Amino acid sequence: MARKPRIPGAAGQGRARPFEIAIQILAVGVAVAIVAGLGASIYHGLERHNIPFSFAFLLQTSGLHLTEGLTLDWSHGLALRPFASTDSNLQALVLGLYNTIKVALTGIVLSTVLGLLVGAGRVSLNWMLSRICLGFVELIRNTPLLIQLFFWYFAVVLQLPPLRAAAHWYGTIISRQGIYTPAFAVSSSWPLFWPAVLASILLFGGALWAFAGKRRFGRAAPLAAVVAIAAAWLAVSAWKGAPLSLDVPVASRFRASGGIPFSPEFSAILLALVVYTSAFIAEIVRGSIEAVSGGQWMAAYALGLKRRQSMTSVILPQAFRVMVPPLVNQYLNLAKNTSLAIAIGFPDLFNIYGTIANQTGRSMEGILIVMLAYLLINWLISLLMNLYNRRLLARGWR
Amino acid sequence: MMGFGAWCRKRLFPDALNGVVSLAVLAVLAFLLYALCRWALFSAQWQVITQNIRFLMAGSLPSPDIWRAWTAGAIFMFMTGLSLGKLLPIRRIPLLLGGLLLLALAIAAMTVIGQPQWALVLALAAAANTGWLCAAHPRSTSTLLGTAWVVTTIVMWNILIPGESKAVGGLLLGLLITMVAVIFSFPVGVALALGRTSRLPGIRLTCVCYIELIRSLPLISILYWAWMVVPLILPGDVRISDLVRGAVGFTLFYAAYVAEYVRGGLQGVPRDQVNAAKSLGLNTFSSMYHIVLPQALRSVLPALVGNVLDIFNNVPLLFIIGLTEFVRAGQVLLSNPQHSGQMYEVYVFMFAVYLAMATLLSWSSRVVEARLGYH
Repeated sequence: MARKPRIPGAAGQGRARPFEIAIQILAVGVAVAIVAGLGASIYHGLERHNIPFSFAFLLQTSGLHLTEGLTLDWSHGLALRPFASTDSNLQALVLGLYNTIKVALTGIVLSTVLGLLVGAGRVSLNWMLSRICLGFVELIRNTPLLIQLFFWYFAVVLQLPPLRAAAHWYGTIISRQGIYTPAFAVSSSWPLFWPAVLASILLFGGALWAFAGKRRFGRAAPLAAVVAIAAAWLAVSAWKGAPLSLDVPVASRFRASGGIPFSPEFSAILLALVVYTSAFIAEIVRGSIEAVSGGQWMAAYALGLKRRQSMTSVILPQAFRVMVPPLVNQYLNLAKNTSLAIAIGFPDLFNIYGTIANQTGRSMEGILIVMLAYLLINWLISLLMNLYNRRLLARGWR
Repeated sequence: MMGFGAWCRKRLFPDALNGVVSLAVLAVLAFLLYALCRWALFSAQWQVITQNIRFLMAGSLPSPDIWRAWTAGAIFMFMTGLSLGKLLPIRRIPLLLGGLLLLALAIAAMTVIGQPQWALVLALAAAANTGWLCAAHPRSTSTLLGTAWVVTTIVMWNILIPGESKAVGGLLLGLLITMVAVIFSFPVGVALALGRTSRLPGIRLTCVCYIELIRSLPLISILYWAWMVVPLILPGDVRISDLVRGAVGFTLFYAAYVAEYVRGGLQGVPRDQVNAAKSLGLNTFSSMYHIVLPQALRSVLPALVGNVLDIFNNVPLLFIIGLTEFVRAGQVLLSNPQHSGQMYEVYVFMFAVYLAMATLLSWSSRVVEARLGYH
């Protein structure tokens, strides 16, 4: 193995001189001093206002009325349940985290779909299509997210018809009190439905893992596993009846029940984030497709491939590799942007933190909790995407 | 160059499916345009904008102080004209002088017929025109332009914020905070980037911690905390205005982003440049300052201009600490039951203003990129 070239200015090269060590100690010392000084003055500032630093407020009853989302209940085993006003502040924060994650995950999936569609339109040879997609991207990227959020909430969602005159569309009820879509409900004759789903996924993953890279079964194993699992499901269904039934929402005069409910606030923040992020994702898609060198197109054409074939089997596999890192950035941005929900009153983590801080005066303690939560969300998304990226690279798409 | 017919056949109607898509998009676009024009010209009530334009542009600045808004606006337009004049190669002096003369005549006419507010608006255009004219002067270099922007920011801050009670709001506040954030986050960001690429692990670790922590938090939380923490760490009798706290939050937040852009530029400078500087006998500081940094900054200039747009688009988040910025002013307007029927007028106006600003900025970013490409 060749010796690494010595790079001046690169990390970990050369011997440290006393002067450099002194500078480092000074820099770290100053940084520590700033943090410590900040902490001390905050502590004294709080003392001056007679608010000693403590986390006891977390276990006090919150008295908040939160209808959106679920919280954790650890009194009788661990369970997710709706929030009650007698629950503690900590449970309210958990509900906020739940809502933030709910918006972030749904948003990531939907904005990826929309972004891929718009991105595909951007690279289309059809002039009309590519121009209108460009117009969409420019309009969205060049205006603040906050005004878009206000627009979606006040000018779109709250202008929908009231529930008694709601629009019905294939079982979906669209009204200003909320949007209700049909959902699948697990039938009562299947008590072990979720364990069965989990087992199937594990089985499939196990089959993939066991036969990965094996030349003889590597291709056939996933297919065989799918067929076997599907056959098992069909057999049990024939015996127990269909596992899922369609749960169609029913509207009465003032409220609707059943299906998956989206509150107006949730719909607005989701719409705003999905539309906003999809514009950025579309640009990433276009950029990474254009980043693949033109010679690849020519080579594909020279082999006699059509445009669509060259795109799917030559260009896209290479573009995917370029696409993943900036995509992760957009996902992280989306997760952070959920905090704008405070502007329209959706109870996300930051909004609930603000409310609790106002009620208890415990804003400083809350900072640490909120900071930790956002760091965790960030690390989680980065970790998942890094794993995916590694898999992408390991597949030989390089 | 192919003819129009051939172009249409290739780009709009290569096959049946594409033809249908083209026609459908065209039909939808035509309908939307028709509906928008009809609404904007006939049914929209733009009085809601014209009557409240002062609130939208300058917030609740009291009447006797409105000269501050006009002065700051004129200075800003002058600087915008100067910058555009530097960017655009069009420097036909007679044309610019003619435009200035025409504007002067129009201002005089407006004053005579008793429309002072239009005279003032025209004066803003005249300020931009004068700035453009000044850009034609050979001594107006890029360094001078940068210094002028720093001075302008300080001057505008002092004009617009004479005291807490009569501080400015609206679009001018947004512009001011953007300028402050851009100017102060730049040196901090460069320092952080240098620290992050330093070979001294202590410094590197400190900078990495700061950058990564800030980048993983939402801006809105940083603003809120800057607003909340600053009074706590100061002695009890010292009061700091919300504006300063907001500006501090923006600066601290965007410094981390500037640092990442600049780091990208630093990593793009070939190692040979450092070696060459070393062989000329330059020490670490000199080679960084004279050789590496200029090249790095030059290559990330378009990204930094894009960052300006990002800052400007995020300024509305100042609502969290109770400042009435442009978007917030629009919301306040709409919360008045008298205007609740004109929701779409207000939103269309705000979108249009932001689009105009953003188009100008992203266009100048592209011009900067293209010019750097030639050198």
